[in-house]
Amino acid sequence: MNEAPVKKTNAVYLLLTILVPIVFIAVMGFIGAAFFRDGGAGAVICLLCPSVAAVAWWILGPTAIWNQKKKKMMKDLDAQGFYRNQTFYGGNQTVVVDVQHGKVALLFFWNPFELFVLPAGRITKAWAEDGAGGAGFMRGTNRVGFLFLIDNVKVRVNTFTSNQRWKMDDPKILEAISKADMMVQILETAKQASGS
Amino acid sequence: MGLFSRMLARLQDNWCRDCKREMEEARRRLFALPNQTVGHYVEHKDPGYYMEELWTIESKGDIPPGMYACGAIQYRCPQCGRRITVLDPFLPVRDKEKHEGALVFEDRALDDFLWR
Repeated sequence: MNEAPVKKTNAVYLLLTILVPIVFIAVMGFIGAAFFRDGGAGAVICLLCPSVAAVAWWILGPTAIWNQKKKKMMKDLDAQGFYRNQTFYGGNQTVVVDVQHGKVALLFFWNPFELFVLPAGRITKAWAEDGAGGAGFMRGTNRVGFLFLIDNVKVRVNTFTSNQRWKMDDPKILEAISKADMMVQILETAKQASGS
Repeated sequence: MGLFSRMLARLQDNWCRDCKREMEEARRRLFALPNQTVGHYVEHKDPGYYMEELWTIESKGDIPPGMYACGAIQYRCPQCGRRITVLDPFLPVRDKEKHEGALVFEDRALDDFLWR
């Protein structure tokens, strides 16, 4: 169990994810330029394939790691006797709450190798945000979520995001607000159960 | 019977299809549906499910966030005595409601359940 202060981003992982493919492209470009000056299949392999592989990695790599780590997170939590009352899969973080034992488990997209299992008493504040904006018939939102402060780190978990503005009484928005309110209440209940 | 009454009988739950007239509201109750939560709503057409799962509550305020509620209205036709029960599962969200579509039952068992 990792009870260390919450860290949403692992800078080394983030940099490696971005930079390793760039280094790979540069090295293969150098090899291509040095050994395949006349072109041909070798030059194509050295100059084109690394670029394609890098783009594929940027698109798929972190997501594949994230999906694998989420599955592992559940297995690890079960092995620790963590009772998964509520699991919420946000885009960039997964929040699991054990109400009985007053614990919260967190896994972050940009820090997928560290699973945080913390007493919910370390949450200082939890609230829902409906993102409402605009006036009159333009009133709506494009983002709904719940937020909490843990170890003075603000964690935002979206229950709905869109590139358009949706009316506040749209069924999708109502469902997202309900999910956010429910998660806030569950976090508060877990906080009380942890004795804080 | 006019065309308008026939249309209403088809479209409105509280219109008697035999007599083509509006039925009276005989009973109105509000329940919680604790096994139906936000994002996991599943429609059930078996009245037995509702008789097992509905919990009586006093007001919408008793329902925690994320839990479904269910309004139940029993209608009775004053002319032929026909009874129907309309269940309206909905998700209470702050001061609004997200309705999932009403279910109409002619099952007598639900009648008794509402009067319990």
